[in-house]
Amino acid sequence: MDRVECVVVGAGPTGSACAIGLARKGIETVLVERGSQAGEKNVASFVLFANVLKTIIPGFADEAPLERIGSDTGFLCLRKDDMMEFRAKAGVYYENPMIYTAYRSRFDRWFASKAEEEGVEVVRGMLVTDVLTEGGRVVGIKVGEDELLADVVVAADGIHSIVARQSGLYEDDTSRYMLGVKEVLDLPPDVIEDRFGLRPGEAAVKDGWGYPMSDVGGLFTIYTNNDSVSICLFAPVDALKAKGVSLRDRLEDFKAHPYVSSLIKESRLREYEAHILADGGRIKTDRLYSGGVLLCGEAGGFNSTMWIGVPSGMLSGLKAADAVAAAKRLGRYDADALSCYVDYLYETGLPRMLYNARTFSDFMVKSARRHMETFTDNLFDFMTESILEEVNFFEPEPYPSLEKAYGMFSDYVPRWLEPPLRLLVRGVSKLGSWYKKRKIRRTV
Amino acid sequence: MADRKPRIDEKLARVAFNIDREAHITVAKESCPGCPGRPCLSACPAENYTWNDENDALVFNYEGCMECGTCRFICPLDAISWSYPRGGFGVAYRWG
Ligand SMILES: Cc1cc2nc3c(=O)[nH]c(=O)nc-3n(C[C@H](O)[C@H](O)[C@H](O)COP(=O)(O)OP(=O)(O)OC[C@H]3O[C@@H](n4cnc5c(N)ncnc54)[C@H](O)[C@@H]3O)c2cc1C
Ligand code: SF4
Ligand code: SF4
Repeated sequence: MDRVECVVVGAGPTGSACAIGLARKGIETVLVERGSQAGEKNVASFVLFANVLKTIIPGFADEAPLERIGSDTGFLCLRKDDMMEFRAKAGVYYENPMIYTAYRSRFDRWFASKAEEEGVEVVRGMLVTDVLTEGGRVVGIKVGEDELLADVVVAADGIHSIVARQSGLYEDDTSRYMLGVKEVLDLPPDVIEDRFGLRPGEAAVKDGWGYPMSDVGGLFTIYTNNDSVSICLFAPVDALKAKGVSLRDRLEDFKAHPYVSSLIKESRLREYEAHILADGGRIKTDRLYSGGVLLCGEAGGFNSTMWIGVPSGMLSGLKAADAVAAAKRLGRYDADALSCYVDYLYETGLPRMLYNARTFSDFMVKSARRHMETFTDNLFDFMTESILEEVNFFEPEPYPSLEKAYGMFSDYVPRWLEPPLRLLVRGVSKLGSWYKKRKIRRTV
Repeated sequence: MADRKPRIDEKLARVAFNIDREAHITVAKESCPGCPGRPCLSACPAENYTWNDENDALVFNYEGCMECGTCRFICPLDAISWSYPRGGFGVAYRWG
């Protein structure tokens, strides 16, 4: 039976980053990928935050297959016939880019080829079907009938991780799973720049919520590539199950929204895609390792609804490589030797990200998903009515903006606190009105 | 604006597949007539699950599977046994 020092399962961004880290530490590494090419199974919206990639390949910008520079970011809020957008166009990020749009199929393939250049053996078209164990410790992998022994197996095989499941480390929590359904739509570069108001080579990076997803607590993204627009709709798997919602139908409703359709009209479908992701933080850090095995990337729950799964996956992969190197120095690969993985993770911002992802998704599950529709309505009313009230010259009283603002958030206040808080807000608002009237008399 | 909803096969025609002879997902279809809501019908983004009214039976087509994994978590009666296709087979996104 063949034997290597380390097997990394899955040539997504996590697996390739980990393999590069291992190779640079002189650890003999095999990277196994089920696709006949790295990337052909993978889907993202896809914005790449390049901070981690930059530490691995400083010159990536000149050789990686990247599309546009994401210096025009926006948050959209949609209702059936309405749209609202908060948008930032940053000069500094256009000059010194940190965010890019790209295609996963091309990016992952390139990144795996970088691992190969570092001396990693990349095996494509092989599905890892099980792990080999001995005395409760992982000692290798199975690929159908074939077996490969390894000192350490790194699970970088994504959300459906076979390695994590078979090593007994996996914790399924479907309440944190979302389905993403995506279309890549062809449009000429000049039309894209015109419609989205972009500088040459600049990408629009728009995330948003509301129509047609508010009843299921879904989200959406609109990103531009060089000659295409990627649109993606996300919804919690539990909501799809409970409400019988069809994301493929919702995608058509989304495309027919007046604002969205003004951006993508006359485009042609290039590719249709779908993939599940997890909100992140579902696995506790002490469950990220055990004898002979480490979990990283999406297989270890490193993701969040902020679309930072790729850089966080890469960094967890690098830390896993550090842990393997440390275990090698000790000459043993049991759980105790590999536990430094968690220490290394705590030297980074990843645990903080996991915590935020977890609390944010709890918030989404418990509160925002229930109240998203009312919140959206209130926000729209606030925006439109405050303008109308400003020009309502027939009304001498200052308008109660504090009460209006409170109305937007009142759904999130615990029920018992609601009556006293409402009274307080009304009181402060009245006082504010009185003070403002006085000020108006004295100033004008 | 789209004049009509495009059919799913028009969308799947834009996706490359390397289809295996054996199905990687199998369904214990005898459960389906009594299934509450039949969420697989609406949830699968590739519309691989359809209902044949004449036979009152589920029809499942693994060839158009995009391997998203939704149906792995969706079935209230645990009738779907889910796995990946063999290495090198299945969906092959050109863009992703
Ligand atoms: C719709 C969608 C949009 C997203 N948008 C963004 C975004 O814009 N930006 C961002 O940073 N993140 C985004 N994410 C999250 C991001 O895609 C993931 O966090 C990231 O892909 C995780 O990388 P990974 O390498 O850990 O896993 P994956 O990318 O899933 O890679 C796993 C790899 O392992 C292979 N594999 C799996 N099982 C086996 C096996 N048994 N044997 C051999 N090989 C196997 C797979 O083929 C795959 O290549 C998005 C996710 C989705 C679903
Ligand atoms: S959800 Fe499961 S039981 Fe229900 S119809 Fe679909 S496959 Fe059958
Ligand atoms: S994995 Fe996704 S595409 Fe494939 S059958 Fe299940 S729901 Fe449909």
